[in-house]
Amino acid sequence: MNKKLVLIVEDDHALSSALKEALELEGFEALACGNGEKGLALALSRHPDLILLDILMPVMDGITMLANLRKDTWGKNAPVIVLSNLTDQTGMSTTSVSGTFEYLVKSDTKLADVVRHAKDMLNV
Amino acid sequence: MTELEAHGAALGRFAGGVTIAVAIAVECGWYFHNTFLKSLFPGIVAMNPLTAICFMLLGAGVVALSMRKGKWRPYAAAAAFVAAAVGITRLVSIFGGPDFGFDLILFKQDILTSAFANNRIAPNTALNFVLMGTALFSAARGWNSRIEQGFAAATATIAAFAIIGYAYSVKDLYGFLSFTPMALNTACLFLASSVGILALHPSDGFIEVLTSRYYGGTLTRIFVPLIIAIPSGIGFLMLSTITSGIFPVEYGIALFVIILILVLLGSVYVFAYSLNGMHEAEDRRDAQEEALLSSIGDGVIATDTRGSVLFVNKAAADMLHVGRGSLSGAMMDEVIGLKDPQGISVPASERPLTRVLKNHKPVSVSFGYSYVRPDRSEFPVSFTAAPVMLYGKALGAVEVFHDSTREREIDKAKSEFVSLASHQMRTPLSAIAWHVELLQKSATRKLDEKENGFIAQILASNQQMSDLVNALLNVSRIELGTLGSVPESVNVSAVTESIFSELEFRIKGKNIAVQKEYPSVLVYSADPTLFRVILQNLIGNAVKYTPADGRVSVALEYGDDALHIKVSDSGIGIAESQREKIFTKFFRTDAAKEHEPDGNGLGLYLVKSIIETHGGSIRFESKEGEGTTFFVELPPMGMKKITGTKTLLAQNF
Repeated sequence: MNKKLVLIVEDDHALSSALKEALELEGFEALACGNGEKGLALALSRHPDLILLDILMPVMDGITMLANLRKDTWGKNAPVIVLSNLTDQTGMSTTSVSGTFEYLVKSDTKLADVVRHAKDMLNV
Repeated sequence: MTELEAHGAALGRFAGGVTIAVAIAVECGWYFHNTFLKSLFPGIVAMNPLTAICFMLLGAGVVALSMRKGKWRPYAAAAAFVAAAVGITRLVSIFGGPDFGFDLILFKQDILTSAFANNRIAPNTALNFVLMGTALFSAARGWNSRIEQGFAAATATIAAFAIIGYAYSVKDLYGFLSFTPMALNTACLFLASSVGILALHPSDGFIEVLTSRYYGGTLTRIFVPLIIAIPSGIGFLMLSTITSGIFPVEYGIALFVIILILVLLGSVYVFAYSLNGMHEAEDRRDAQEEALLSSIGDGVIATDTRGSVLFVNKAAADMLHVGRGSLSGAMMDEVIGLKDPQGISVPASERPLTRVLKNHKPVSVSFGYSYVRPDRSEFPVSFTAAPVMLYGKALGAVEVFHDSTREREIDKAKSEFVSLASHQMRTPLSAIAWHVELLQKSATRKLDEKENGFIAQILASNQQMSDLVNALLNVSRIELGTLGSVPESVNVSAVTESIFSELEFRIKGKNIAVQKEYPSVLVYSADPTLFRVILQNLIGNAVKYTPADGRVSVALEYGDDALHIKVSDSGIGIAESQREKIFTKFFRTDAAKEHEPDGNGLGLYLVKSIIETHGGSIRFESKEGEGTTFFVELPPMGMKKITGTKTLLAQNF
């Protein structure tokens, strides 16, 4: 059985490398990029099994990327976990119109919990 | 008793004493046939023995009323009544009524065989006893001071007629028709006892003009003696020059008139001069006060007791975009609107100025309020409204305010900076936490105990930093007004239970006894997150600052007036000197720092901010080393709904 592919879209290198390492330790294949534009291109070309998405990023933010992703036939049902520092109600409501996703606040969540959520979503 | 009243009472006792002494001397004069004692000068009528008795009574009455104690008052009233009765019976007999001859009871033979036709009580003396008796009676009964003073003044006037009559040898001034005239010593005693009565209530009635500490009082005290003495003196001088033939009559009278005119003109000049000086000083003082108030950089508005504007200084008029004159007489709350931090107009009955005029206590409004100018524009304002009190009575209120736009901008910038900086700090904090986690997990060899300790310390420090950042963000949200509140029905007992289970590890570790005084279900309309933060901080603090084997109790009660929350501990307590700062941002008591070095001093500040935003109140009682109890009251209708953009962040204890 092929390794599940997880796409990490996160501009902070320290965070994305930690996520990549943790996911690879758990037997996932992880792919990281630093903004929404690259993330969207990778998602649409590679069709990952799960996308971990930051919100505040340069070039294209996570919300815009998610909105664009949902316009794609494959992308409208792609599993997404939004990882953010935002706890704003406005941030929440904007993302909530863009379809189903999970939402985790980075500073409140342990790395192990992120991995557990990823596993839950992929049923592994 | 004021100093003035004490002086008055002393004068009263003196005048009364003199009256009694002279009256006794008169009786002795009758007994020993001593002309000086009974009539002062040979050849003039003596004081009737009954008159002397009446003077003893009146004198005693005046002395009695000058005493501090009130128990002699009835005796004074009785004495006054007897004197007046003597006067009336004598007047009745003079005007042809029945003659009881009371004035003949003592020394009857001497009286009837006196050098005068007889030495009975004179009609003017009898009348004076009626007047004087009435004055004393009124004083004894505590009637209006004007009554006693009016009657005493009338008595004194009749006595003064008699004295001047004796001085100028005008018999008609002291005697009436062929009746016995008033004796000279009688007239003097009437004068003395009148002075005694006038001195009884020096700060009241007509006499107040004389005793007042104002300019009028001073002028009166100077001029009354002069106006009596100067005409009497000059008149006497003129009369003697005329009678001794130095001047002819016309010449003497003309001179008298000229001197009188000059004296009166002089008096008027002094009066006018003093009044002008006073007025000028007043004008200068007014101008100074006006200049002072006008030069104050803050806005000053004074109103009367109804809230109608009396005074507006320049700064106020400039800030409100109105002319200084156009506000005068207007009702403050009709012209200038006030909006609360939520942007809602404050109703007139709740306006600080209205509250000040009602409660006579100053009210300060420092943050979040705005004034609405008559042109509908607004500006943030902070002000203090205070009652203007004079002699314990409110004359109105004065409001000092300034435009706090700049402060508000600075404060907002500061909060925004904190918010931004904190946000930026959260990412590296997450990165640290996650990498330490990786280190624990992916290490190729098993870490030894020491290395595990280091990692635990890194995680604990990281968590502490993360909590501080969250707390700072929460504070900045509260201060920016971006913190929303969505009340829903919350089982506050369940919230409390969950906080206790979060803290269970610490509670067990310190063997703290927990006392819970609330029903298992208690539903209140609250924003779940905000309500949780309140209890989390209060209970968390109670557990944190209570030493091992201590006690923590929480009571919840939903009454008609409020939701009462009581959180009590047997902890370190709050030192008296640090109590007033306990809700200040970043403040921690010395004992708290010593007991628990970790902590950011933001918890209680946050709790108080939330509670007050929602119309509740928080207070505490504490004894150092014995414990602290916090009392929270939240409004009975529940927490407010506030449309905000942010929610609170979790905190850990």
